[in-house]
Amino acid sequence: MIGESRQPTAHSPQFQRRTGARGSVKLLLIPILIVPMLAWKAYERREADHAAVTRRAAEEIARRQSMQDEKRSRWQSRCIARLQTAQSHDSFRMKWPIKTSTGGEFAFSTSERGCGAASVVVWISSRNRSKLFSPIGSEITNSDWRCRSYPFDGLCGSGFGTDCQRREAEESATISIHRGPGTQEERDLAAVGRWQQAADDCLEMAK
Amino acid sequence: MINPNTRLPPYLADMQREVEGYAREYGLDFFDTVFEMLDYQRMNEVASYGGFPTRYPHWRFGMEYEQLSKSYEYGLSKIYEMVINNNPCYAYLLEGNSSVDQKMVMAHVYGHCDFFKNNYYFSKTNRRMIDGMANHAMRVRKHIERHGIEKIESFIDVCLALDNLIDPMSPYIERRSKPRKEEESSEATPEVPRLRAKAYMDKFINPPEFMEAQKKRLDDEKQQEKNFPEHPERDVLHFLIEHAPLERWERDVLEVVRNEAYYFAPQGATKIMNEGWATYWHSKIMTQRALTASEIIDYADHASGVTATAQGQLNPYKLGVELYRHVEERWDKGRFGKEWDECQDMAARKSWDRRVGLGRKKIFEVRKLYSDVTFIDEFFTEEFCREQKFFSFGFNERSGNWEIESREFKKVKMRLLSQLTNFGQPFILVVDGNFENRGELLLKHKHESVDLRIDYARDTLESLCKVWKRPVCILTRVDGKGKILRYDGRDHSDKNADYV
Repeated sequence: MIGESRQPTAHSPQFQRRTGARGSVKLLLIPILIVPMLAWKAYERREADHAAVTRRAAEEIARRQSMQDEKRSRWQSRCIARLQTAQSHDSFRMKWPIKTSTGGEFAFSTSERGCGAASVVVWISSRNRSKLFSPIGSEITNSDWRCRSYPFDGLCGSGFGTDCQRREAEESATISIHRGPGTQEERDLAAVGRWQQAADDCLEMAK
Repeated sequence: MINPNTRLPPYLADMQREVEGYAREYGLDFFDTVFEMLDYQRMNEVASYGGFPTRYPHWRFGMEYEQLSKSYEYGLSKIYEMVINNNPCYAYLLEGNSSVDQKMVMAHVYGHCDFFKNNYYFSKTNRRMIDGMANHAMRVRKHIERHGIEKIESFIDVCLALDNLIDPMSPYIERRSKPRKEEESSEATPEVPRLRAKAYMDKFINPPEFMEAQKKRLDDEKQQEKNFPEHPERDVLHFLIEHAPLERWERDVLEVVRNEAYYFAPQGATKIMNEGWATYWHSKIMTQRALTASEIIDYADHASGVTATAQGQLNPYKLGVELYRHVEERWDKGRFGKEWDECQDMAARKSWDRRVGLGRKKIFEVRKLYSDVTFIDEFFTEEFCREQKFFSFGFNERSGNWEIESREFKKVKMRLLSQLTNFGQPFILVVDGNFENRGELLLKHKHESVDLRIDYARDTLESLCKVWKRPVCILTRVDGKGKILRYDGRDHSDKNADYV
């Protein structure tokens, strides 16, 4: 996550070079030390289970709504409203976890923004429906919430999608890894190797 | 607002004193630094506020909070530390971190604080920005109470679309000469001064063609004075504040956004240097002084996460720290100067060591005077590029693949510099505030081999139009041809134009 950008939001697109979104340097402005967590730590985080997160999110919303600070709660409730609007477009979240009796297919592919395995998006095709998922596992279609891809740091399946992988693995134990388009030789090999490793880990977890 | 109960527990206060002592012994020079301990929720709140406890109300902060907190909850990343450029510096530690992490973070923070205090690009920033931000928040809230949040927030959205249209170097350079006196700027073109000469010598001493050229130059200058603005203006926001038909509250909000953009600009311009410097010092302090034997593995584990290079992304921590170390080594071994530059013998260069020991002094000088662009331009050498295995990549339309374009030093360096110059954003100037005598605003994109993203340009023109309140245009080059993109408040149009 180091070096992840604060993209201009959908509400404030700025003048950009045509190639600006690809391969350029995008940095957080404030000095901030963000360290990507290891995948196995992510697995260990049981609270990342969707039900727990949903409960915590509900608690958080309730907590914030009851906040004394009127002015702060004002913008927070506004942004929550926007978040909910975004989520209302999000059939995936409503149905999580997807039941895939026939087995689902996961495909990792490099995003068009990244290079090689620098960033990945997760496509899940299930029952002939394909969806693009954001790093946090939610489909993002609302214009306020652009899809962002996170760097895939190659540490044993870390990166987003971990929970989806695990859940899917638990249910169907079917994960197919596709090489993303547009990678080249060494980057390809390295990337696919890591993805394969990630898949192996998931399957191991699911046993 | 930050919970007042954020004081460090005694063991961390002791740790702070210890690390601060080491930092000062190494010669770091910083403002007083106040550490506060926050839980992850508060940390995310402050991070979404750009590191400040109070900001003006705007929905995007909430959005960023949600993103950060979800990212943490799903175990994707966590913020270890945050520090803001202020006097005193404020730094935030994450509650629940292990003591070795806290120690590393403190050492890292002192590196940042030293950089803030001493780097030239921060010299003109407001050192009381905590108060400044609170003041901005108060101003915006006042407008919200008066005009309603929808109106103000929508206008802030518009302003944020334009907040990169500033002139980041203007605090350091006087762009405009002083305004001329009234009599000097009268309508008539001044006479070209003639050297005194007798009549028969006059055409040799004051040659007619020279006099003609001088007259033309003066005429052009006179014509230039009539332009509005007189010279192309890079600080588009400043131009809008001065000349756009804004209501008072709109002008005030635009000023707030502009002030904050200027405050953050040096941080964007020195990101690699700043992070590299902090990483250099946390590494130095931790490995040479602060670590105990039992902490080394944990430290190494976490520190390697900070400097890990993800493919396709430039890690400023990694590049910065490696470059500082490279500079230090070069100046320690005397690898600089004419003799070094002219040495072509690879074996001699490899074993070159004059034992001059100027490395530490040099890196302190570098952190004082350079920005990312000048830092890379001067010290990103061929040896460094090779050692660090840099390459440039791009999209190959023929194969439909992202491919390594080159490992050639010059190309890599040029790519790097072009990404960093002006933060990788296009140069946009105001060239005419009364375009075609219709009160339209004409901007010019200074084309430097890369076209504008047209969809973004159109969206930005829409925002600009809301501020200028008349049609707005931008002159650019698309696929090699000059073009004016125009937005009249309802429709977009474009037409061919000469791009000079």
